[in-house]
Amino acid sequence: MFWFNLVSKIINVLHSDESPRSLAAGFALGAIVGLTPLWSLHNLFVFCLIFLINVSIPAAFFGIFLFSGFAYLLDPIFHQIGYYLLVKVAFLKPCWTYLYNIPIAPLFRLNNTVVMGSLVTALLIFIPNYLGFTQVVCLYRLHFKERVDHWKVIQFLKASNLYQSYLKIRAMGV
Amino acid sequence: MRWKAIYLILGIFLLLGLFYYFFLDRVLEGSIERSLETVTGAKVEVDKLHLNLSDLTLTIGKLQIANPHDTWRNLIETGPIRVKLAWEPLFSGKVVMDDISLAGLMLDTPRRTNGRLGRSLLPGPFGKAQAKLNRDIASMPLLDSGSMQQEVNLNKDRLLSSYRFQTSLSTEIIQERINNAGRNWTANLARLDETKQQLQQIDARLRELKTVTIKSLPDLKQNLKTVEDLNRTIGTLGPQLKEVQSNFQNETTDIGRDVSDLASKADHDYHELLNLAKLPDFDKINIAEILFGEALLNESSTFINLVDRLQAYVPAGILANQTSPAATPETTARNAPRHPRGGQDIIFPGRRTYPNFLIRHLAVSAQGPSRTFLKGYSANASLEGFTTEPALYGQPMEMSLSAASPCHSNLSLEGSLNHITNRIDDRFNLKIQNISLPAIDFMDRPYLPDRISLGNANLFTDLAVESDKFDLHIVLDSPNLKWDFGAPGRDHHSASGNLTAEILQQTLAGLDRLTIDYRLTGQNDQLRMSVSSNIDRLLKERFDAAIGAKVAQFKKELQLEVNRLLDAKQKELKSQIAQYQTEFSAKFNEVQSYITREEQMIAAEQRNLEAKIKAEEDRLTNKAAQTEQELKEQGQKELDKKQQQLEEELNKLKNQLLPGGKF
Repeated sequence: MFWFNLVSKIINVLHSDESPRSLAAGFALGAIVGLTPLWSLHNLFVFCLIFLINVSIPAAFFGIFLFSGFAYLLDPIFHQIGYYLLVKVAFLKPCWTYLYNIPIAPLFRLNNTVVMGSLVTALLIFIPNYLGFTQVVCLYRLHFKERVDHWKVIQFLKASNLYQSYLKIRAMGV
Repeated sequence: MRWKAIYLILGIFLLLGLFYYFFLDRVLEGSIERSLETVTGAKVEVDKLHLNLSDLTLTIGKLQIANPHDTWRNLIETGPIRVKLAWEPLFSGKVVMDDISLAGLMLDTPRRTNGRLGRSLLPGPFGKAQAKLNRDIASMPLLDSGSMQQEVNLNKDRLLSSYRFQTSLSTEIIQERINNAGRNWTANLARLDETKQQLQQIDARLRELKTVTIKSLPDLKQNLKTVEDLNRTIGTLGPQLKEVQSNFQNETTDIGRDVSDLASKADHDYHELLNLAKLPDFDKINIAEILFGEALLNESSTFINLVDRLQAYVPAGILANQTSPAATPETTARNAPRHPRGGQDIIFPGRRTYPNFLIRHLAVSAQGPSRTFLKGYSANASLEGFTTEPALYGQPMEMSLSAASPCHSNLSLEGSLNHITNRIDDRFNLKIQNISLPAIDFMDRPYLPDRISLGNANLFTDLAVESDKFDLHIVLDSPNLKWDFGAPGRDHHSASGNLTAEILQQTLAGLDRLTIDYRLTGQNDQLRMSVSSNIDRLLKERFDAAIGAKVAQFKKELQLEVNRLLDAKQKELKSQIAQYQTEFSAKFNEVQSYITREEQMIAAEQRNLEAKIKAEEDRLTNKAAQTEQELKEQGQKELDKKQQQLEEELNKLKNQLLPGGKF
């Protein structure tokens, strides 16, 4: 059911009327949540952004799912990056020490190597993610959307209750 | 902007608020109750708990902790409790309690419901130690009614006549061995006789050689060869003789050792006779262990279990996912373990790193309210630095408690838990003065009192816990002791006619002060318990005074009897061995001297023959030289004569060929 739900969401998102920029923004924000450890305070702000601004929520969840799938594999690299930034880069140390000692900031756990490494990586690829996914959506809609629409499985998905529910929620404007 | 999403989030917050308002307190109550029940092993009830998020205070209206040994009474019952939490550590998922105050603390209050949890009170090694204690107590002679009812047997003759001595049995065995060895020795003596005969034959040959007239050198050499053969023969007899002697000496040494070992058999006989005499052995009786061992073990197990639980909540040393505040980022990076998404926390200077749970200061004071039975009671307790991560906090936990009762009982507890490093070092010191102890029943202990009222006592306890061992030492001093021997409806195993029981009961009845020294040590799940008291010393003195002299005389006579038997047996065996030794030595010396004499004679004859041979050889050599000289001279003469003849013939021939003398 989960896979069915996910695939249908991906297809529906790509076939919806939402703008490619909205989809790409949701995807890029989801990538931040997916790449970084879930239970970090900064993800609360990212989730708030996803829910409050007009970005595609399904695209965001698709991004979360996609990136969290292999984020574990990248953890050793994130650790190395985070360790390098936190320990080896001398001119950044005062900054980290300041953040470490001011109220609330420690709750972001930026002194953790994996949190720091994954967050920096996610922020660095945010713009490429956004631009790249915009291009992907545009190309898909231009070249593949018509063809995929005729697939029986897509027609089945559209006819399913799930899709109808999705349309209802969309109609509510959430 | 999605406004509906904002409403949704607000709705979630509203739900959380409702949960907090209606359910959070109940959930916290339940979790605190379960946690404390795990520690105490009895039911815990928390009432009117409220968490105020505005100033982060937790208040509890009432707390009851049931006594695990009397579940119809509370160990602790408190009035209002107020806990002040620190804000900042909470954002890191850490609980730091700045201050805890507790008022209206009451001890040992009655309960309306049963506080039993339904679990075993003495699991693990304590259960084993309890079972061993019960076995030890059951095996003590004092509690064995059968042995107690037997009369002390001080009739020496009756005892000796009915006893089969190990000394006699061993003597018979040694006797048998001597007999067997004697047969060997007889055979050896026969061998010595054979040797003697051989020597006589050698002697005869030697004499025969002396009588023969020698005419030539070959005869001399033949005689010398015969003498050398005799010498070789006598040379082989020497080692044989030494072997026989060595065997004899080894066997006599072994048997002599067995004879000496008879002393240990006699010692065994003496102790066996003492056992048969059923003399009371006061060293084996430990009244304090019988009377108080189980109670002390129960109490100490509770105490040590509490400490164990406390240690479980206060782990020692640096935990796997922690880094020391003193560590540099580099050392932290090397030491910290790797987790799938855990990463590594780099610690920067400045901010204090809090443990996950910390109570900086806890103060409890209790005063018994007037118009209640608690009037006059007072207690003060303080706790410093209770934390789940002492290595991170960097200071040992210190605790102190003092309490007083209206009847002048005082309690003082000092404790220190040092778990900063992996090496645990915990110390506790508890002093209770003038404590009123409950009466203890001993209904199932024959010959002992039915009940003891310890009255007001003083208790001194020291507990030291290190990484893999602990040492608990309790001294109980009860100056107002009362014994009760007359509980109705009990078979008292009447002491009349039973000396031991009489003395025991008289001693206990006259004792009004009791001092118990109890020690329980443990190392790697191995427990060792020892209990001693002034009762045992007094009992020994009483027994000594009553029957000590008689028993001592009896022991002395018994020892004399055993020694007499031993001496007789040893003397008998030793004389037998000595007889064999004398006989053997005489024969051996005779043969030995024979051999020596023959050896000397052979050597003399050999020298004589060698001298003769040398003289004959010299004579023959001289004769040969003389003959050679004569032959040489004769030959020379013959040669000169022939030479002259030849010269003459040559001259003749010259004259014939060359007349006038010219050639």
